[in-house]
Amino acid sequence: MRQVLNIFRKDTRQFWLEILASFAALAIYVVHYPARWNVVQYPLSYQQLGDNWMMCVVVVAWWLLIARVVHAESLVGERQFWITRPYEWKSLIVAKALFVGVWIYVPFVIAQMLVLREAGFSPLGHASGWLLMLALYSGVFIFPLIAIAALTANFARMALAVFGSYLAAIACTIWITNRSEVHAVSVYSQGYGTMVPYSHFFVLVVFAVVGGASVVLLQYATRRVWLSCTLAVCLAALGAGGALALSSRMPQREVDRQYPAASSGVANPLQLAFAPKPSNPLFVGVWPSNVFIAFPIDLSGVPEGAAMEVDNMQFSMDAADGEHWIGPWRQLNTTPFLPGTHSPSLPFILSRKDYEHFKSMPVTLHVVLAVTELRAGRETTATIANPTFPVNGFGVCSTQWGEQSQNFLHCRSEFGELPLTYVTAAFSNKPCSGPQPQPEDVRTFAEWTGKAYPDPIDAGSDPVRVTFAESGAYDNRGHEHGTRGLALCPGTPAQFTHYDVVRRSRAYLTVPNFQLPAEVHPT
Amino acid sequence: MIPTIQTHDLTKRFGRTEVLHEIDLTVPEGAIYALVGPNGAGKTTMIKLLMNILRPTAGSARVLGLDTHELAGEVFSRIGYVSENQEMPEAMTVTAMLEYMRPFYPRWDRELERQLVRQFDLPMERKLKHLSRGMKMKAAFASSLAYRPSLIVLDEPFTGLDPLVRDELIESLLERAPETTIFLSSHDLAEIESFASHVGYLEEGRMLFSEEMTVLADRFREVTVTLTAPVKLPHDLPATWLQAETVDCVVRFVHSEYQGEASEREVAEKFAGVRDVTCEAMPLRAIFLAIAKTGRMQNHATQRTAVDRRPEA
Repeated sequence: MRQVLNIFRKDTRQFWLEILASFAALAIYVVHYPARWNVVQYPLSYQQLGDNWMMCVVVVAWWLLIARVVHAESLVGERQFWITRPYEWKSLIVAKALFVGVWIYVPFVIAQMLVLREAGFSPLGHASGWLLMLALYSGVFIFPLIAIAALTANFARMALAVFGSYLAAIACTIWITNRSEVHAVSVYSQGYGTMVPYSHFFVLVVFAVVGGASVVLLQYATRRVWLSCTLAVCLAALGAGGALALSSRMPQREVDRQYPAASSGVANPLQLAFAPKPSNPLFVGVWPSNVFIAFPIDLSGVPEGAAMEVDNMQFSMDAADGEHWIGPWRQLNTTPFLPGTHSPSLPFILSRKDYEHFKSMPVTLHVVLAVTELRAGRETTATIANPTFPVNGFGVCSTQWGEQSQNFLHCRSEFGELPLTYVTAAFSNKPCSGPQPQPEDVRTFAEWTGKAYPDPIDAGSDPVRVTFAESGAYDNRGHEHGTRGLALCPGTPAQFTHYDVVRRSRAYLTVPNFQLPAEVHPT
Repeated sequence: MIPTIQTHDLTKRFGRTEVLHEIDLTVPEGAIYALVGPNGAGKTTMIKLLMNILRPTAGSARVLGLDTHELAGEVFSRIGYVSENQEMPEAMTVTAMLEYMRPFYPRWDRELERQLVRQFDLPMERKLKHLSRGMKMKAAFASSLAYRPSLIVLDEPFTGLDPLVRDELIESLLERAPETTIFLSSHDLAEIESFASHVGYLEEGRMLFSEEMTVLADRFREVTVTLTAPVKLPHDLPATWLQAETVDCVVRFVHSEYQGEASEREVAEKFAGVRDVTCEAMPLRAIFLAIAKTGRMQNHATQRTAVDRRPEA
């Protein structure tokens, strides 16, 4: 322990400037981060830099700090003074871990607590959220950086290795994404779902932490660079293989498993009908190798107090000549459907070869929708106030004006994504500064926000989740409207209704004697 | 008594290049052992093997009774290692470095530290990176001697230093000599001749000899034989006679196994008409030159033979 503290003290004295630099980066983060909560006032220069530029500065400062502290007792080479001194490798690694803990993790946690407090939340609690967030930072940044520092002799070499690893990771991600995207499906999250479910993603994060720690341990224990490098490369390959395996498990089989087929005698959860109309026609688009058909339907039958989310869909055809064609499950990005009749258009994609084959004859078309049935749950009514107002079980909200003169609700929550919530608010067509608006001046609009299966923490990896509950895109039957020029005035109520998942099932539509539409060539 | 350093068939190869070839070496406790040899002979590699900085390809080495692969951590509190090309914690001041080093060594002697600092006249508040080469070496010595190590290992410690600094360092070493074993490498014979008790000569990765200085000095003689008439050198000269040459009536050679009168009798028997034989003690430098030149000639001859024996394409 004496040796650990001695090394820690030395490193702290020696690298006070780098420590200060990382503190400065964190201070910039803490001071400027809340600007993101105010969309309109968010400085343009920040927007141009990207949402995460502040965190990038912090990560670069950490990189510098980690490089300096690990390279102070470099593990690569034969000329370092310390290798012929009575250093115990276990004490050395504990001292370095202590340094990283004290000067990276602790300030980071304090900074995030300050951000949480600034956002109006209690910094304490949410142990799982903290744990997951720290695991994410450890797996994505800190442990890989320590491992690379342990395998390189100086900052220049480390920079090369970091950029090399970064490029390799990007190439690997692109490859995996391209490989999986062909038949992207949504199983774990509503709307634009993640390709790899969060639980699987965290398996990879934990793997990165354990892998990074193993490489660092091996290198400190043996100082055999080739051995540790071999382990690092093998682990990286294993991680990439694991990511590929996890992502490729997603499609098809997973939908079949998660959305059980209806047993006979069970009513369709939705009424579906093929319904081309002038406002929503059957439409053919031609891509280089595929044909895209916009397939219009009428969707109804959602019971009162419920909503229906269509996550994925699958088309299949039976031709008169006995030929059967079945397409893959495809993700569908729509907001949940409320009671009433809706007229969405489903994207029906098939190869040009299949299209040419089937367009010449009538077919029986089958459409299967993988749906999540939702039921309205807890309902919270909050009174709009300036500058912010709390919404129980949701977060802290405020009203803001967008660039198109539309007023919207802007909410933030702590740790993780919000559960699927339907937000309704009363808009006035009179300015808020005037007399109390009359009932005829007020119109109620609504918007969906959150996810049916919320991720435990935001993949953006900060503790405050920002949600734009625009409360203006749809009326309370789900029909689209505009709210330009309308105002959300203090003192008026806003309603937040949580929707809970009841079950996943399938809805079916069969269209006999369906004729694939002909291509329309521009004249 | 267990030798402080002992190697057996110690061999190191980097790829296909053999840097050390089956080195057998024994350094008794209390010795000041100088490993000499030209640049590139393998001295630094040898020291790195002894310090467990490198791992041997074959053979073994023991230091302070431990196999070198066990040298790590606490055992280094009994070893003081200074190398000409060692990276020091450059950002530290001399004071900070000594303060930092102190807790690592249970036997650190503050009084000795103060004495060494005074003796070397170290600028305590200056960072190591701002010190001259000589001062840096003095700081390294101070941080390696203050804990009274049982073994001091020095790799070319005096290279590039001015004579004054060199003498100061040697003086500080000799003050420690009674309580420690010193193993140092050098390519300069003159600098170790005055104080080394044992010497080993390394050339092209091979140890040509390794023995006590006094034995070495007794063993070598420059022999001058004056004859009554000029002679040609016989082909069957003993292998212990090195660099034999003749000029008119005088034959000169270096006797590498001189044994007093017996050797003189042997000389007299070898040549007819011997008028006079003188056997003079040799300075270390002359001994090394004789060995080095003979070694190189033998190596060249071996290589030439190997080339000659190659089958023709």
